[in-house]
Amino acid sequence: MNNEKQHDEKIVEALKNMPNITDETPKNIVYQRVSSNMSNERVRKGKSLKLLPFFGTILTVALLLVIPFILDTTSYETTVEDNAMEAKTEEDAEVITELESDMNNKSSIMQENTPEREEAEQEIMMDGEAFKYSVVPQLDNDSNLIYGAIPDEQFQYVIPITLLVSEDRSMNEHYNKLEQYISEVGLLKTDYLLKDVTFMIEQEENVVTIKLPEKFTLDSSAQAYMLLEMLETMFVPLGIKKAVFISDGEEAIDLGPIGIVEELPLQVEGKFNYKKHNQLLVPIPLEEEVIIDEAIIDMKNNDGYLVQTIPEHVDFTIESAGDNLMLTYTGETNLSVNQQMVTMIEAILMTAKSYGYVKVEFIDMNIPSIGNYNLNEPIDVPEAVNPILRD
Amino acid sequence: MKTVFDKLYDEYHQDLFQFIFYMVKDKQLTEDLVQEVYIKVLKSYSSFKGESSEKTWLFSIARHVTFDYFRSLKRRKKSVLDFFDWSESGESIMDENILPEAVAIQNDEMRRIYHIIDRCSVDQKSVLILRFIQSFSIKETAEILNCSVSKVKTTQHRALKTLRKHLSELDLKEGIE
Repeated sequence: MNNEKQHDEKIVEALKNMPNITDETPKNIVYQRVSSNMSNERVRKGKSLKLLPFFGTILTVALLLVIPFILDTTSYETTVEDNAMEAKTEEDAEVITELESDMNNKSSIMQENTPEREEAEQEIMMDGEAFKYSVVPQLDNDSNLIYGAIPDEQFQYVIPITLLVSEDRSMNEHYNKLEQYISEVGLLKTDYLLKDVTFMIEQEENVVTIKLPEKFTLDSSAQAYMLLEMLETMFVPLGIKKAVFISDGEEAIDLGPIGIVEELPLQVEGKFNYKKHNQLLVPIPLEEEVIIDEAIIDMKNNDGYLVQTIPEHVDFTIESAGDNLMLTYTGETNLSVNQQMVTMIEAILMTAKSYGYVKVEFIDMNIPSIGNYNLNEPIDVPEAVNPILRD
Repeated sequence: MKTVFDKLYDEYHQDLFQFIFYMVKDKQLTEDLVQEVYIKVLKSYSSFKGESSEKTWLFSIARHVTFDYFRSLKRRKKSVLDFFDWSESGESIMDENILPEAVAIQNDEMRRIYHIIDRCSVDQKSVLILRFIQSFSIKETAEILNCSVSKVKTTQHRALKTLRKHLSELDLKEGIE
């Protein structure tokens, strides 16, 4: 033991004595590079703004016609108003019972909500009000689900979204309208990485062919990583295992830091825990060594603009039994039936799913049920997250 | 924007550069990543609320940027060199013999530690660099890594254990024992 301590001290000493590394690039050059990069980004954004009047018209028409989205995107002020709209089709109703929406406020979804604001919103939900659900439960038939992905504003995380679509159109048609669908609910705040990208899904072959626009470029490793994560989030749930890239008939695409590629394997791997941002559950990638207990405890922490999904006063002991995860409530305060609890349950279910669990049991909660969730029996992990219903 | 940049550069640039350099060990890449950090910081500076110190906020963004880089690298390696095992060891290719020009390390033990640190996970490596090379406190390190103080202690302990293990293996390999 002593030996180990001495060894550690030596290592620490060596680390402390590592040479100082200095940047010899003059300050003004660093600034020029930074500002030039930022200007380039602004130019790109400026170009897309020219399309706004056109999209504005489309959006107005769409807003008038579209079935309400089940994702609640209301702002704090409108949450307390009784303006819920029921889902219209029977099939959808089964999935989205009690979910509400306010189309007039869709554009507010990506407002700069602070953790405090989101917490306030959680608190304002009263017992008996319709709850907002952030997951799609297990379905026998998932053929009307398509999967989208957006980056968060700081380009740190990929946020999956799930669209419940009609089966009148083909999967390819829906995927090629994803940008429009996402844009219509005000979820596209930054430049959409997959702008003008066309998808051709061959489900039997487990392949998606991705046609990139002529001047497609990736500027940074962050963008490259984001692109791949978005593609995986969008296509792996369909069983797609490979993305093949083409551009104007030419194969092999320069994906910037990833290099020149013709195809890439797609697979969602790793563990996540879920926090909340602007009404969306955001999967946070975790290191392989992080165990489920640590992942769940971490959900009590706010992370910048990401909001905790487990309130600080809620404590659990956590055990596994095969595919089941069991959380026994050990907190001292009585739990309330409110939106915060629904969000907590859903975030835990999604986190458990990423660890490979199939069911989650909540024990000693002293609440028989919350919304659609019967706490007296194990709950299946959900099919998908952040649902949006559309025609 | 220039004023904010000047302030951040004057106070933290060399520390920031050093942190990212020890994470990725490539000067050109460090310059690129530092640039990405500034862009993110300048874009979101107005929303900085002072809940943590400016320095830990800046480093937490640097940590995100380097993590993103490692993830993209991991993906690239996976797609190009599927046979390479990235799961257990560190995120960059170990080169036991070559030291970058910028790193003048004469001491053998330090050279070995410099290389072996890549055997740690990215989190472990971050903790070692922040705590011992950059001299951040445990609390500051926890703020940067957005985790609890106890998590930093555990990660630090595991990181030192990893270094110890690989140093012993290297000793055996080289017949030093």
